[in-house]
Amino acid sequence: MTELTRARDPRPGSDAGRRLRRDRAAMAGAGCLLVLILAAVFAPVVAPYDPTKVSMRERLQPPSPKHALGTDQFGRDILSRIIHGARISLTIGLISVGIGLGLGTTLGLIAGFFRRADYPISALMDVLLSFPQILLAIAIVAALGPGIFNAMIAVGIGTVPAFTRLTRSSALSIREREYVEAARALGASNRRIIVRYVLPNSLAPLVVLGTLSLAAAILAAAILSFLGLGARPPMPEWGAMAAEGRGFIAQFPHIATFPSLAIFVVVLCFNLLGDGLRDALDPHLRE
Amino acid sequence: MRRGSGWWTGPVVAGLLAMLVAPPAHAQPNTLIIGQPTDAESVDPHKVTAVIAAERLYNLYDTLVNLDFDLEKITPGLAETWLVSPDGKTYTFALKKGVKFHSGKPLTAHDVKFTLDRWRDPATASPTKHRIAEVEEILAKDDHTVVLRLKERSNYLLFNLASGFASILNPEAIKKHGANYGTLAVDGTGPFRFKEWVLRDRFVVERNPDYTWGPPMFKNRGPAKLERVVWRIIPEDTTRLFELEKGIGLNVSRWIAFSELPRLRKDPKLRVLEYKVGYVVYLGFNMNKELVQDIRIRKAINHAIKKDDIVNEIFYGLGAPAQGPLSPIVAGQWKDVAKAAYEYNPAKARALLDEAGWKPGPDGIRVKDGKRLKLPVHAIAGYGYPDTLTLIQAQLKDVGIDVEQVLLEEAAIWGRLKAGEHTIMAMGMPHSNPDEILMFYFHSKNRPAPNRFNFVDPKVDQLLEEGRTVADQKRWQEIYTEVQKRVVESAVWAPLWHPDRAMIMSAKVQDLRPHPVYDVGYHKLLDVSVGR
Repeated sequence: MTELTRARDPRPGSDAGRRLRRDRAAMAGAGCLLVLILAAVFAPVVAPYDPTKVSMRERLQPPSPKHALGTDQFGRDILSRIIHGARISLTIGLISVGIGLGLGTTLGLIAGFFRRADYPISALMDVLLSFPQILLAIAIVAALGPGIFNAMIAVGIGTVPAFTRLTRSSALSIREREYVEAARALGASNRRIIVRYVLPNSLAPLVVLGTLSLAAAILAAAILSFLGLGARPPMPEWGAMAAEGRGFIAQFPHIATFPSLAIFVVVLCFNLLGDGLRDALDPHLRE
Repeated sequence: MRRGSGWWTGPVVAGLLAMLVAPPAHAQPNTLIIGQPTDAESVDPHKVTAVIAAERLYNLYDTLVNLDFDLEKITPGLAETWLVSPDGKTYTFALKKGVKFHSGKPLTAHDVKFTLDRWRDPATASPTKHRIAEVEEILAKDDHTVVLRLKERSNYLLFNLASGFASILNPEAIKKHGANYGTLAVDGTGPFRFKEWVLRDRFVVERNPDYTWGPPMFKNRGPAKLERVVWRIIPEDTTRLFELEKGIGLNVSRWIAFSELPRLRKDPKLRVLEYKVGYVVYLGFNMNKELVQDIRIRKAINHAIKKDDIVNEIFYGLGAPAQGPLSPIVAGQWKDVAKAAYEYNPAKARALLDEAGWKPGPDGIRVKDGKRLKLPVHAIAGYGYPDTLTLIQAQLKDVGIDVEQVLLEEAAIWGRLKAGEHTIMAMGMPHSNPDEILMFYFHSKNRPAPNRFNFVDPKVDQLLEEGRTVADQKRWQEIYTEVQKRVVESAVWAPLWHPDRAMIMSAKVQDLRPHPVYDVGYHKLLDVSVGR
């Protein structure tokens, strides 16, 4: 039966899809993310309270039936803030990885395909890589000024070198393949070759890196906000919430703990999914 | 391929581990270890303004005179006695004999002259040189007599000579060490000698065994009872709290979150001293910014802020709501300031905004000519400002004003304010006389900084100048009453609160009495001892 299926459907994608569906950890991560994404999308409906509503009479309450995760030093409902915070964190993750993916892939394709462009682009990426990425992000935010939008740009730029290198190395090897030679012999332009042959064949590792980078980007943005360089109050960003709550950790640990747990869960989920994707797509693991 | 997840964890974990295994205290006997969130940049008195630098100055150096714990009485220092001429323009100081610098050089009147000349020299560029701006000439009459001639009589010269920034220096040390003076080398006459400074980690001084000339406002005239004093820099609030509470690295700090006080007061191993300082925290409006030029907006903000909530909910009642610019513990404060002040009244605030043409938009934030009423507030990202602003943000949202918090590091904020980029700023200011704060902030010649509000009132200028020189006590009070009235009526500020301070120490620390001058807390630590 298996042989028949394989014969009928030779595309590697379905193989990968099946391998991924069999990976329990990855599916758990994906399921968890789905719940979070739904919560983020429907935050105003799902969240029990207004996340920025200050109510001094209800401040510093531990978890209770009324406030499932308690309230912070301004009496704001922590559960509602975490749900609304999911919107912010996921948006930051998507946009900054989008920046990294867009810029990095373009640069990588250029570097890998055109020999003359390879050296300057690779050198620039080496320079960027020589900074620890969180330091690079802090430096960029320091130059642009604090704020959620600048934090996205900073984290995005920090992810560019990884995408560039990955795409470049794929492009380098694909450029020499027979089908590229064949396309060139048929008179295809460079652009057509890049878009039709090189890019689609480098996609699989990019998907994996993109997923793993999402986790890293969300974490980096939370760190920036924790340091006061990202989200501005009263925005319910998880890193900022952890920072605001840390002064109360001795007496009211729930304020900093729950947003930190939220960061932990999202990062874990993206990593599980990313690992699963890699196992599913990595040709070296195929039988 | 690098894994996306852990790229930053390595260094962070390594840093945390390094902090954990670092040698904890300098746990020698009879050592006072003070916990601070930030470090000073220098202990050259002519290069600094920071409170945390000033408290070190009092211990490394001496001043000609001292300001007593009541913030009113001027008491002797290096000058045993002083005479003021009848016209108030000539001060003659008789120096104590037998005073020696840490290097062994005896103190003379020439050192005093050198110090004060260096302070006011434009080439020194001291940020506090305005404190002796009225001095015209400094003379060393003989080895132990110093004469100061003033352009006009001054009500504040002695206050300013009592400040840590007027500490007396050794000219030889200044010449010898040049630009390194104040960071690598220090020579004073104070009760403690400079020992070691590891920037952003610790500042160590040790007892000056020859010290016998302590000011009479302390019980012990010297030498100090403590062997050494260590200022440890611990940026993280919780770490400072735990080290103090567990008695592992600190035995005193003034920078502990007020939320912890109810618990710490019950701890038998600790002592909590609450005390008043001359201090005010305020929102200041930049009159150059069109949005806040309309006095109705400024008044509306004044009416919309519930100061009691700031004091009681954020700072646990440790302080009092502010009605005007001056602290009630400072002489010259207008006792009836509450009459002119703006009470909490959100309905009035809404009415004022309506009148000014700002009507509520779809999201509740007011709009005028298609523009949202969004006001940025600049503040330091620490010392309670973020929490204060978050509360104000919620209170102003209630009347339809959108507050944007612009939180900046302390090192970064001054330049931004000087450039005038702020519309509103939240800030605090220590003061022990009316001139120290009102002249500083509200004289038009002090624009754009420190008069960062670009407040101009010729009458206030004239009154402030008169206040410096007037001899009659009644007129003096009238002048400052009028200035405070005008400042409150113009609504150039929304005064927020007068904070109190809390010094939390191990119960083993004896006779540490906080001094309110310039909010330093630690004046000369002559009486203090640390038991076993």
